[in-house]
Amino acid sequence: MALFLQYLGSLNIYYVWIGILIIAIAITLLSVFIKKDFIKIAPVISIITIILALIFIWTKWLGFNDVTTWLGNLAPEHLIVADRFTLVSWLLILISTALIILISIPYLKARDVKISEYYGMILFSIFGMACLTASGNFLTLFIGIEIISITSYVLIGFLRHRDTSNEASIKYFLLSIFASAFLLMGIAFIFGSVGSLDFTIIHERIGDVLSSKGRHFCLFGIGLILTGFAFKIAAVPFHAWAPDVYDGAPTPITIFMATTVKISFFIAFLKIAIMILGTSSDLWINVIWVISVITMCVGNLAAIVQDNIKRMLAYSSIAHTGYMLVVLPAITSDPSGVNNAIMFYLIAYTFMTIAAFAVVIEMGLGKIEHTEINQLKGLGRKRPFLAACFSLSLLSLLGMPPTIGFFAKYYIFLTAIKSGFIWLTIIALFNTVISAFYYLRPIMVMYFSADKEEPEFDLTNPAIVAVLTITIITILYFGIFPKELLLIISKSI
Amino acid sequence: MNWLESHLLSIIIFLPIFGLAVISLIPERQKDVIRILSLSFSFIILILTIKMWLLFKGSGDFEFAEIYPWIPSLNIYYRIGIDGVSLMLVILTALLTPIAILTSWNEINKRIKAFYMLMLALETGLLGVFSSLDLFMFYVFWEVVLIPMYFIIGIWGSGNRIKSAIKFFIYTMLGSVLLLVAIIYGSTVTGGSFDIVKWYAHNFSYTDQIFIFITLAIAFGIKVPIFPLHTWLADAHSDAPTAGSVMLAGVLLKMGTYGFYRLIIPILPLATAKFAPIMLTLAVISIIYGGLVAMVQPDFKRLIAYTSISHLGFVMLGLFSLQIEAVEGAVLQMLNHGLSTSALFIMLGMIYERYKTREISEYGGLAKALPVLTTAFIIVSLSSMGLPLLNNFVGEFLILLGSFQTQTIYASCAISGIVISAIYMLWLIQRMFLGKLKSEEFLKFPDLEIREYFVLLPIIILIFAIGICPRPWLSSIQRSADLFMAFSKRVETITTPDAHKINVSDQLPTTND
Amino acid sequence: MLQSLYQHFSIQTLAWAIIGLPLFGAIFNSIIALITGRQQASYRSLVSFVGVITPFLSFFITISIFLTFISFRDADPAFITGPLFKWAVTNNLHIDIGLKVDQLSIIMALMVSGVGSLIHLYSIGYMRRDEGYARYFAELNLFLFFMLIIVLADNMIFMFVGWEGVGLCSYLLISFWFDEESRAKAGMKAFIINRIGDAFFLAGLFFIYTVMKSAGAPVSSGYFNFGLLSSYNAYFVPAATIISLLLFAGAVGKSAQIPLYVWLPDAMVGPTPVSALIHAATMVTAGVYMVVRLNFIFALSPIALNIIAYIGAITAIYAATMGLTQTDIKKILAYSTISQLGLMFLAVGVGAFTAAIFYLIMHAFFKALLFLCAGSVIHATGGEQDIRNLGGLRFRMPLTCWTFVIAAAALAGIAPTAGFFGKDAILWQTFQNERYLLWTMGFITTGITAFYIFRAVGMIFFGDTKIPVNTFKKIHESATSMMAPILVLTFLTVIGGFVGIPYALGGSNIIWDWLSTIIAYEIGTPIDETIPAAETIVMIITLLWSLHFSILGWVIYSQRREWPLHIAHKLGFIYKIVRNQYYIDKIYDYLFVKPVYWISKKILWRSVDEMYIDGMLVNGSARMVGFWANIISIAQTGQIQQYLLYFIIGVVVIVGYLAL
Repeated sequence: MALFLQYLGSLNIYYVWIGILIIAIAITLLSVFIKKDFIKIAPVISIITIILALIFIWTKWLGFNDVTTWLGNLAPEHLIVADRFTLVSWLLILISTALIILISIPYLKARDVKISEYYGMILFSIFGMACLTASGNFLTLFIGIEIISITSYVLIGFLRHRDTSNEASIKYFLLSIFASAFLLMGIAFIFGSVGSLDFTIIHERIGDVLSSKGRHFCLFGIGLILTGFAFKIAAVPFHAWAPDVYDGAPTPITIFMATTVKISFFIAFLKIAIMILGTSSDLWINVIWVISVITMCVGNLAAIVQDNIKRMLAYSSIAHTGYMLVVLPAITSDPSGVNNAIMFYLIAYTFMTIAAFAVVIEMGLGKIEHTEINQLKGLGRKRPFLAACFSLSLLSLLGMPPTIGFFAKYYIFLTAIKSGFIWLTIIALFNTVISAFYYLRPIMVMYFSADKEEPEFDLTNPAIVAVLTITIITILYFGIFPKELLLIISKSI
Repeated sequence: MNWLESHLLSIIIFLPIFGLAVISLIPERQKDVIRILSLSFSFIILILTIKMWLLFKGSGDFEFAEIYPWIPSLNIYYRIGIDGVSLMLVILTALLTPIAILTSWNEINKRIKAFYMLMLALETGLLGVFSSLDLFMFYVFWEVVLIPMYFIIGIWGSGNRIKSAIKFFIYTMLGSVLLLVAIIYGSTVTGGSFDIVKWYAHNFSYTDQIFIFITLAIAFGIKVPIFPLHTWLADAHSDAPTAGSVMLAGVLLKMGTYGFYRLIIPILPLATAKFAPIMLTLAVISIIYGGLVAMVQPDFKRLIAYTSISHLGFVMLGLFSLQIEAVEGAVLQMLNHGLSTSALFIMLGMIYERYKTREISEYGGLAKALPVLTTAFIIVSLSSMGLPLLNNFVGEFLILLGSFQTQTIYASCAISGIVISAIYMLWLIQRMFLGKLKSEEFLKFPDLEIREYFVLLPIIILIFAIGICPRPWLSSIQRSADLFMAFSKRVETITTPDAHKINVSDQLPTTND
Repeated sequence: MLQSLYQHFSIQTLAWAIIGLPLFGAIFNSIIALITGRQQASYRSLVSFVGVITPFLSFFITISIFLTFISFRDADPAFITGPLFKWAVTNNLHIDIGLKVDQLSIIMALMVSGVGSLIHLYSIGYMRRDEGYARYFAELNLFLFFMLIIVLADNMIFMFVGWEGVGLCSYLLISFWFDEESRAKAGMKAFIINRIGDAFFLAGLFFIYTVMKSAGAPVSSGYFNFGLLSSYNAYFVPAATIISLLLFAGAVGKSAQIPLYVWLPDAMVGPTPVSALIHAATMVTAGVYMVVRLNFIFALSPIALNIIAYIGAITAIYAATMGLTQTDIKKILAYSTISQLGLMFLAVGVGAFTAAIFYLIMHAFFKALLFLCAGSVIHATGGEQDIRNLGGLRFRMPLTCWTFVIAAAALAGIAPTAGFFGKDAILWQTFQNERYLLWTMGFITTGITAFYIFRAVGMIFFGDTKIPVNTFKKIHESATSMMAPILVLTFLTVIGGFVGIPYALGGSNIIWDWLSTIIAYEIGTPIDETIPAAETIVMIITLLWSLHFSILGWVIYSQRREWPLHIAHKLGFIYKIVRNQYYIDKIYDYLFVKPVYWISKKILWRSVDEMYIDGMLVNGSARMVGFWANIISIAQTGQIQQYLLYFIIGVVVIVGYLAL
């Protein structure tokens, strides 16, 4: 084992992704030839791969001695940069993916879908994410984005026989092409005004550019890039796709979009914010301010009136984007704090969301795709464990101590207030109160209904049990003792 | 100091959680095992608390203090300790929990496992709130209290329970987010410290004080509740199960007044000086308004719920009049109100268990049917209307006596509360227990059974004990109250050497610059 | 005998025993009442033993202490038992539970425990057939306990304890037969109105505290001690008026003066012994006692004293007129009580503190006697209280009749009964202080009183009876346990007055000397050598006046009962008003009760609470949230063009804002 680890340590960090890429291709090809039962093997292979990758990256993280970070100045002309921050985000991406794959098994089984390209696609997509999160250069950034987008189209429309799925896929396709176009244009403007695609170089030069005559082009580009990312992380008013797509897509993919994809975009956005926006004019701060406020409000308010849990969670994830944006304006004054806060929030958000959706899948195993809230009636009596997990995840999303959701929110607001965004924080907090309306509703339905169902079968499916246990334990443990997690994150800046 | 004594407070706080874990292992159908277990756990906690009281020295500073790093990177510590006032409320909590559990012995018969687990969780939350010296912890426990109560009202409540539960949750959460804002903001001002003692030492700038005061005052004012923020209370109390009402009226409301005592007044003396007139006015309004509205309630649980507003108005009056007698009275009054009001709720719960209606007009002449219960009820009502030799008198008397020194007008208005309280309690007794026996049905049910004696006796004994000999209670409060006064008078020590005789609200012009 | 007593007990212990014994009785009986529940009547013997023996014991102890006092009375014998324990202690507030036995409190204690024990004894017979026998005695003992606290307390807070306590007991005893709505309501009314008075009393206490605090009195000795107060009374000069008035307001509630007297007539629904003890002899006089006890404060404020005097006088006349028209025997006595209390306050008001106390005690004797006789009549006639349905009873119950007549004579102030000396002292001192208006009022009151009480005598015991013959035949004297107290009280009523024989009649006026050390501010001194003639003249006039009215009332109502009807017919309207007690209850009802109820229900609860705060603010904001939620969810049409539109708008705004 030690030898193995040593060997891993000697390897170059990027091999892991090449490995993942190979596996992805392999799965895709094999699934063309081996029709029979490959659906059973593919997830296993991919999960093993991911676990290996996790170990490898973790060892790398531990043995990391390169001090080059996004905050420190960085040797230019790096297309891909893997610092600890990147590694942590990779870890997060991989873990969430593993969980999602785990969930997908029973999901697909229940709908006897035998197409194992699915897993290949997921692996491709996380390769894209790796590329995106590690990009040191707009080129790689854009490539990453495109890989993710293309795989996403496929995955969203994966259940061919369901129109909602196809519709969602088309919607996402059109809109995200649109967004990518704007993003690309923005990049072009930046390149035009600054003369480089490399973040570091832009970081150095942008200050002068913004004080010079060509300021407007640069700002124009910044604006477009902002909109592009705002679309990807589903911030209002570029959020409109999210509810429909989350609703239409197969639930595991919904989770994938809501967590893994969003995480990667957010991290990339964070890097860009630090490297480019952070030094540029403060105008963009007001923009983010406004965006985050309307994102929170729209997300929460719209979620109140949803009867379909998937849609509700979709809107809630929009609201959470808003919460994370609350702290972003602080980036100029306290970058490391913002990094920590957002990173922690992303981790928390991932686990909470996966837990919540896992319950939805469990509910939907009987082939139901749309889970109405009223179907939860008396769940607290019928399936106590499931109900408990669901309410716990909801309370965590609401931000009730002692769950990880609370500490994440707390950390965000702490950082924001430290940098003096008190009113933004107060608005955010009032939004949390509003969110109580819809987070409590399922709990209410599950427990407060006076009916007399006797306990029937509780959780049966091992995969989902596994996922739920992992997520819930994380939610509670790191909710009460966030110390270690904070340590890891703060070491990664 | 052996290990037990040095960790006594932590043990007391987290023993309920342990009990919760144990109970969670018992199968649902073993009802009595669950009941007995939870009762014995809460009883052990009570005994430990009494032991703690015996060890308590009554020196003004925080005793049984423990500090461990929790999240050092954000300098959040596990920091607990109690002074006399916290001790009072800890005792109250530890006393009322077993009583509440015993009360709900027969009343709760569905999902009892969950119920008792929640009761224990609630106890931990409350004990934590009253004994944490770190504001982050304080907030965490503050929120932890919220959830079990939400479930207790929502699942085992009666009437319009779901709406009440939601109302309670949203209302109080609104308060607690403001609390969070205040805590975070304050911590940024004090250089990232959450240590309450540090906050005491820190002199906040005038504007900061105003901001923090407003946020905190709303947060705690909702819990107390003071006049305009009270509408959650009646619904929550009346729809909760008896145990829920007992914990709500007995302890949860004290969280608000405790917040005023522990945080607002000593930490923000300037703002207190500025806002004292407003708070006093609100307090007096609560006293009179609560009493009058209580008087006309058709539902007896709502009636008692509204009386809480009136009684806690007295506490607020006492705290904000910033006179030593008044403050001690206010603290004692928290305890008294906890005892008598919860006793009233318990007895009304017993009546409700028997006759299944909360409409006062349905009753009449119960004294014929339940003589003993009637006697107990009259005794407790007398205590709650502040008759001498019963507990409430001591508190109210000290509050009025103290506040009369500086806030004569407010105190004079508040005195009318004494009359009003007599009116609503006596009228309630007259309508429910006296007069002709409304129906022969009432005679069908037996008078108190043994369990109910055990529920009521301790409270009634305490009611007499505090009323006849309030000294031990007062003396363990005394030093803490002195320190409280010292902190809250910081304004005056700046402006005038004679810190005693001066009306705080006169200080404004000098404090502004 | 005293020696042997003091060999075993210290005088302090005995003093505590005075209040301790009734308390023990109360606890014992209430336990029996609670345990036995419905069958408490079957434990009668035990209950009555404990319930009666304890008051008697404390009475005897009081006597023994009294004798001790007398034995060395040239030295000031007052003593304080010292704190039983410190009750409440904060940094600058010490209140301890202690007793003060001095000349004033000892004679009050004698009166209270004496009359109290007699009435306990009387109750054995009166309540014999009652279901709540033990409860009754428990409550009566408790009352005695609290009353003795009022009398013997050495500080105002402890006094207030008793002050509220007697209110409570009067509540419990008035509504003793609680299963009748009216009785329960009457008890409630009494308690609430007393509570109003107590609120003012408290305010008075707070003012005293403020004064003492600013006077820098020693904290540890307790700001409320009577001793300390009297030694610091110079500091009260500025605040004397307000304090006196507040305390007097408390007394007004307790002693049923205008405007808070309305509870006393209703209180008559309680058992008659209760009316005798609480609502005639003891509790209602607590107000007077309190004022006398604090005479050193009241005397500082002439204004306050004036107000007290006039309120007393007005109450006296006013109540007397109502006494004229009542037909319920107990109501008549109630109004007479109110009016006599008025006289006492009149006395206090003109500074005749001693006279007030003197008359208070005398009044206790004969008013208790009147009530007990009335009780025995009611008992005998099976609960008949309306004097119009009685008459001629002297044949059936002569003893009751003649004792009643004696008591009536005392009330009318006819020599040589106790009432005569009492009234005379008051009127004379008023006259002597040249307060002629007040004197006239008192004078008139005396006349009316004489008239209506003998009206009652005439209608109950004389003339021809209205009772159906066969029942009339069955009527007989009450049991010995009821007659014995009556006889004792008669004796007291006859000879009691001789402790206060005025000097004008060559008496030595013992009681004045007795109280001289307490009453530091006696204004009108009865010793006036210049014009002994004047006193005699006034005395004789008064005597003739009341005698004349007594005979008038007696004759008219025993022989010529139709006359007054004619007169009433003539007066018509006025008579109607007086007959209905000036509609005061109705007026209060429409002035205070109904408005407060209406405001609380309709305005405070329904509008402010439910409509505005809850409806508009709370639910309103919730509704607002819901409204916006709907608006936003409408925007989510699913139309991709729409989404693109949002997108473009967003882009334009953001980029525009940034770039331009």
